[in-house]
This record gives sequence, C-alpha cells and structure tokens, in this order.
Amino acid sequence: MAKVALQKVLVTGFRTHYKILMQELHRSGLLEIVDTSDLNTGEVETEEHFGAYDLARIDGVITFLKPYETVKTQADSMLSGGKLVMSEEDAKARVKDFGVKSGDILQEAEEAEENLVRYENEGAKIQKRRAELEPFRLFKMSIEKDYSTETTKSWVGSVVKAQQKTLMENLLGESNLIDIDIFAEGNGNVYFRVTADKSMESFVAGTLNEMRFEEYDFSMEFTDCYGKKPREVLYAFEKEETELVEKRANLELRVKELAVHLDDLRILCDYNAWGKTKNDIQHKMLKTKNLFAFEAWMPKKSFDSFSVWLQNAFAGEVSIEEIAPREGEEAPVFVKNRRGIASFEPITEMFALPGAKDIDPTAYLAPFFFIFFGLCLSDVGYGMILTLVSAYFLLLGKFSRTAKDGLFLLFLCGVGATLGGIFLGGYFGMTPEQAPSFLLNPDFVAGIEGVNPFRGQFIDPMVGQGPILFLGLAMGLGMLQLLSGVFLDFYRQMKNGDYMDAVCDPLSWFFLLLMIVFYVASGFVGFLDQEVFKMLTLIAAGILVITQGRKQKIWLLKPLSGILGLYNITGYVSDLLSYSRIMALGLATGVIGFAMNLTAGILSSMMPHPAIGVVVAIIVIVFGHSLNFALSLLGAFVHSGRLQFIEFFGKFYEGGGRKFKPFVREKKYLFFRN
Amino acid sequence: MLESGIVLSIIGAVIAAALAGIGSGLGVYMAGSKAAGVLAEKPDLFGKLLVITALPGSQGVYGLLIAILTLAKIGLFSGGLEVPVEAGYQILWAGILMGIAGLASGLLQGRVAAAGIGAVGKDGSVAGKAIVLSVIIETYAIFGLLVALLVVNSIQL
Repeated sequence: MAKVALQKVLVTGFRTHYKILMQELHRSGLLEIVDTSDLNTGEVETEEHFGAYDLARIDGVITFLKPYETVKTQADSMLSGGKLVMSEEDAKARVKDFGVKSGDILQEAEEAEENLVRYENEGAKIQKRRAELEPFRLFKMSIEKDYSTETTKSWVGSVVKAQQKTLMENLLGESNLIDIDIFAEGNGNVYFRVTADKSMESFVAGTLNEMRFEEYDFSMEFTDCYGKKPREVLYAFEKEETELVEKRANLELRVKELAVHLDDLRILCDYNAWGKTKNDIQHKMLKTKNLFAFEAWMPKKSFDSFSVWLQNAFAGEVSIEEIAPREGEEAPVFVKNRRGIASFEPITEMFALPGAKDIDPTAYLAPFFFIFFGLCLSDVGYGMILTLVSAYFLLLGKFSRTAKDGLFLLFLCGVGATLGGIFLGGYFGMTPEQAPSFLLNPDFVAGIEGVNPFRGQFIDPMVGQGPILFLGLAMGLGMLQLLSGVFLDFYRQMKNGDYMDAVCDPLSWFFLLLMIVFYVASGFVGFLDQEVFKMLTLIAAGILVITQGRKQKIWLLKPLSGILGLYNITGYVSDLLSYSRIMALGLATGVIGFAMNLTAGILSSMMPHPAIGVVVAIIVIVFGHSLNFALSLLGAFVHSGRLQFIEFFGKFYEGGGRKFKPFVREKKYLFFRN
Repeated sequence: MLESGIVLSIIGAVIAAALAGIGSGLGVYMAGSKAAGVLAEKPDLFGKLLVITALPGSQGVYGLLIAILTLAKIGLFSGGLEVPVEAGYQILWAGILMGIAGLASGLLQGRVAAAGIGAVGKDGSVAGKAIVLSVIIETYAIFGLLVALLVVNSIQL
C-alpha cells in the first residue's frame, strides 16, 4: 500500500447545498481543502456564529473545573485514553440538552473562579497583616501614629534577643527618665517600647541606633486601625479569616456541583470546535451569492465513488472534476499501510514523511526494526513485561486506531525482545546456576563448550566464541539492511523513470557489495570458489570506475572521478561497523541485569538476619531491574531507530513530505463507539 | 603495585566506571538544566524532555558494565583468581579506553542534547529528530564499549 496516490480536485456547486455537503465532508474526513483565499475577491459572509471566544470560554471553564471532578478510577481513564466513549447519537442529544443551560453554567463557573481568586488574595493579605501585628498582641496601648507627648518621646520596635541585656543596662542605667516596656518576644527578637523625657531624646536615639534597633511604624500598614488595641485588631482579623475560609468552602462545594457538568462541557467543547473549523474553512474557498467552489486533495481511488455520491446526493447540482496541481504545488503525503505495518509509521514520521520522489519506507524498515530491537533488548523477562502490558491495554482499552497502532508497536517490540532473549539466553540477567531448571537445556553441562545453557538458545554471548558470533550476526544483519537500502534506491529510481542513474549508481553498488559479501563468505563456506568471487568483485569495481565518472564533462576526468567514486566504499564500511551497536546493547542488557542480581546477592548476605537479607534482595532486584528495563528499552528503541534513519534511509530516502491533513472532526475529548 | 595483575585490573575497572560516569554526569547535567528551563514555560513537554535528558546517561552505564565485567572476570566476587600482569594491563587499557570514550562522548552528547532541548522547547514536534541527532554521538561510546568488551572477554583466566 504505502503511499496513497492523491488527486487534486475542484468542487463547485450551488450555495443551497453547501451546508449539507460540508457536514458530510467533515464527518468523513475524505478531503483536504486547499487554501485558495488569495484568489478570493468576493466577500465572505459568516453563516453561523461559532466564535473562537466561546471555545476559549469553554476550555477555560473545563480547566478550572477539572481539579474538582470526582475522579474516575485510574484504570478506567487509562483504558479509555481519557476520552468519553459514547455513540454519536448520544453525544448529539446531550449537546442539545445541555446547550440551553450551558450559558448559565459557564457564567456561574467563571464567577466562582473569580471569587475564589479574590478570597485567596484577601486571605493572603489578612494573613500578612496578622503576622506583622502578631508581636504586638500584648502591647497595652492602642495603635497610634505617634506615642510622644509634650514632654516625652516614644519608640516602638525590636532588637535581637542577644542585645536585650545590654540595651536595658545602657538605657535604664543612664537615667530614671527612661522607661522600657517589653511586651513580646519572638523570631529571635524582643519587642518593646521606650519612653523617655524629651531631654534624653538624642541619647536614646543614639543608643538604639547602635543596638540596630528596628523601629516599627504603624502608619505604614495600619492607619485604618488607629485607636484600636492590637489585640482587638488581631481578633477582628481572625474572625475575618474564618469567614473567608467558610465562604471559600461553601463556594468550593458549589463548584464541585458544577463539575458534574464537566463531561457535558467536554462534548460541547468538541462540537463547538467542529463548528469553528466548519466556519473557518469557508475562508479558504470561493463563495458568491449563489455558488461555491473549492480545490482539494483526495485519495485517487475514492474519486469515482465520491463523484457518484455527489451526483446522487445533490441531483447533479454539485460537480467535481480532476485538476492539475498549480505550478510549484506539491501533493501532500498520505501514508497508509496494512495493520501491523502501520504500527511502524510513527518511526517513519519521526524522521520525515516521504517526499514527492520517495517510496514509503515503513514496510521495509519494519522487519529490521523488529529484529534489531529484539536483539538490543534481548531479555525474555523484559520482553514478556512489555508484551503483557501492551496486550492488556490493546484488549481492554478503547483507543483510536492511531493509539492502538502505537500500542501494537510496543506489543511487537515486546515479542521481539522475548524472541531475542530466547535466542541469546537472557532471563532477567540470570546465570544458568541461578535460573530455574525448566529454562535450562537438559544437555548442558557446565564447563563444556558447544552446548548452550538455556533452552532454545543459539548464541551464548559471554562465553568463548559467543561475542564474535554475535558481532558477526549484527554485521550480517547490517549488511542485509544496507543491501536492501541500495536495492530500494534502485527500485525507487526505476519507478521515477531515472533508468540510467538507477543502473549506474544503486545497481552497480549493489552488485559490488553482493560480490564482496560472497567473496568474504567463500572464505568460510567450502562450496563457494573464492577465486571466482575475487574476479567478480574486481569486475564490479571496474564497472563502478566506468559508471561513477559519467557526469564529468571533461573526458580526461572521467576515469579519475570513477576511481574517486570507488572511495565511497569507506562510507559503506563505516555504516556496517555502526551495526555493531546491536551486539553492544544486547550484551549490556544482560550484563547489567547480571550486575543487579549480583549486587542483590552480596547485599543480602551482608545482612544480620536472613529475613532482612531477603527483603533487601527483593528491593535491590526490583529497583535494579526497573532501572535496567527503562534504560535498555530507551536504548533499544533509540538505537534501532537510528540504524533506520542514518544507515538505512541514507541509501534511498530523503523525506520532507507534507502530511495530508483532511478536513475532519478532531476529537479532543470524544471517542465515538460504532 | 603495577606488577600485580589484580591491582591493574581494579584500576582499569575504576577508570572505566569513573570517567564514563563523569562524562554522563556532565552530559545529563547540561541537558537536565536546559530541560528544567524549558519546563518552566512548557510543562507538557516533560515526557519528551526526559527522554532527551536521559540519552547522555548511557555512557555511565557502559562504564559500569565494563567495570562489573572486569571485576567478575578477575573473580573479585568469588574469592579472586591469579591474574597475570599481562592480563592486568590488558584490562587496564580496556578500562582506559572505555573511560575516555565515555567521558568525551557523554560530555559532548550532553551539549547536543541541550541544544536539541532548546529546539524542542520552540517546537515539540522535532523531538524525534533531536533524539536522533543526540544519538549520533553515542556511536563512539558504543564503539569504545565494543572494543573494551572484546578485549576483556578475550582474556582467559
């Protein structure tokens, strides 16, 4: 399947049919409507009012109410992907019912939000003032701007506790015309009032200054409390605070009641968003008083059935015709693969969608990704966890097709890792001695090479020739992928009609690489004659020398360019070496798992009591393997992907296509059951 | 001291784990602090940023891997084996190789990851590409790991 061929079409019709047509198109998501607003000279009139403002309001209220929602069980909301699952009729009915009262509910929720914010601000303000006044709770006088009288001068404030004694001695010892009233202690400070005869004013001020006295000035914050005692003011504050808390609690109860409408609001939000897209789309097209016309892209194979449908549904009053794209206009890319293969589309998309001259690489990278991932993660335990978790969600969850495809990719990765684990004997990093006997190969005897310890195991990557074998396997798979890549380039260029280039570049290289493979293989396999392949390799190299210089204009430079072109072989060598990462990552999973088991064993044997030892071992094993699982999973995914993007795609794939974005109902909250 | 195979091997293991760990630490530090900055503006990107931040962390794991493998090889966990001086030097060099490869690539991968995080902060859809760019550097840590693995594994004790 791969890339779906798209056709550009022009749809024209009478305005009377516009609304129904748009509704159907929006529902089916068949067309991508091209923006031709720059050609529009006529006036656009708005049919229905679906302002962005309404949508923003609903969105805002949903965000506000969400924390007050009585939460559905975690598993439930995970299984539905956080969406509302219902039939389209139900949703429609609910929108109709709810639409009437939605205005009131939105308004009430918005007011409640405002009030909650206001209460909070007021509460914070009172709290701040209360904290400021708190040290003066036992201050016997009322709050005044200034406590000085005709003959005396007063200071109210604090010094650090450690200064208290010196202060008393210095001031009281100086004269009996000075009085100190200490009324509070706190935060390492003492709070007091000093009253002194006016004649002592400069002396007291000087002494206080030396003690780093912090004078308190009520006129800064408490002008409204003049004449009242701090105790009374504090009492009033407390009362006010309790009232606020009560108001808040009452309001929150009401908000909780409002939150019951959240699901209705969500449905409304989706419907309003659809209304908005439907309304916005008309700005992209041509509309006159009686007619409308728009350009669109659609899958070529649906064209016939769609035009028949148009003919029947609108009695010939809406027409469709195939048109050529404008100059410089590139068709969007619509990639569609069979189920299973489609799961690998996100990997292609991660790099880039196929460009105009590309083939869709998804189907070709899928088997390689599966194998590479399996060998990188290569642990039956981890693979089973991945498989079972994704299978659980696949079977019980209600997700969109895209989400299910993504889950299926995880499921396949899990299967791959399980197979890889069997192949390489990885079971949570266990050594044969630690593993339960049903996993073991009955023919295995410790110390004898040649028989692998686990059932179904092909390579023991840590023993004897194992690592080299594994490395060879990784390189072999790499060679296979490189050859596929070069061959796909040949296929692609043939398909695009560049026959000369297709034969001279990819095919010649393919031949050379294949001959090198056979030449190397003939060193190991008896029935292949090495001399023959040596000759063939040289011939292939000769062909490349001839072909690689073909674009040089000057005759003398042609053979020179040809020989230089042969140097590209170094690129293939470095690509091939890159595949050794499969082996390194495969080993890493097993060795780190082994290290975790080892650590658990050592730590538990150090514990004073065997029971504690068991507990410690379990903790270390669970934690260690979770860490190893997460890191290996990330590594396996990322590096298997990289091998596709750089080594594989480098041979035949450019990317850079624009995704086909049909005019369709985007469902943010809803999920329609059929 | 440098005539004892066991000591040489342990030095090798320590160098592998320590240098590669430093490389990863610095790399994750750079990526992580950048990610924290982006998160303040766009908390939704946490998942993507976490993955990119974790990428330079693998060098430390490779270093640990070589260290553990070395220690297991010389039988440190099971009472110790006779390690000839030649084998000790072999392991030491493997450790130095892993350490340097991990240090340099972890550090530099951190820079690429941090730059990628900046790009993701502007446009969340480039996360995949930012990951790929960052992974290219890791190749050299993996090559280091590969050679070190082969060297350590080839020793027969």
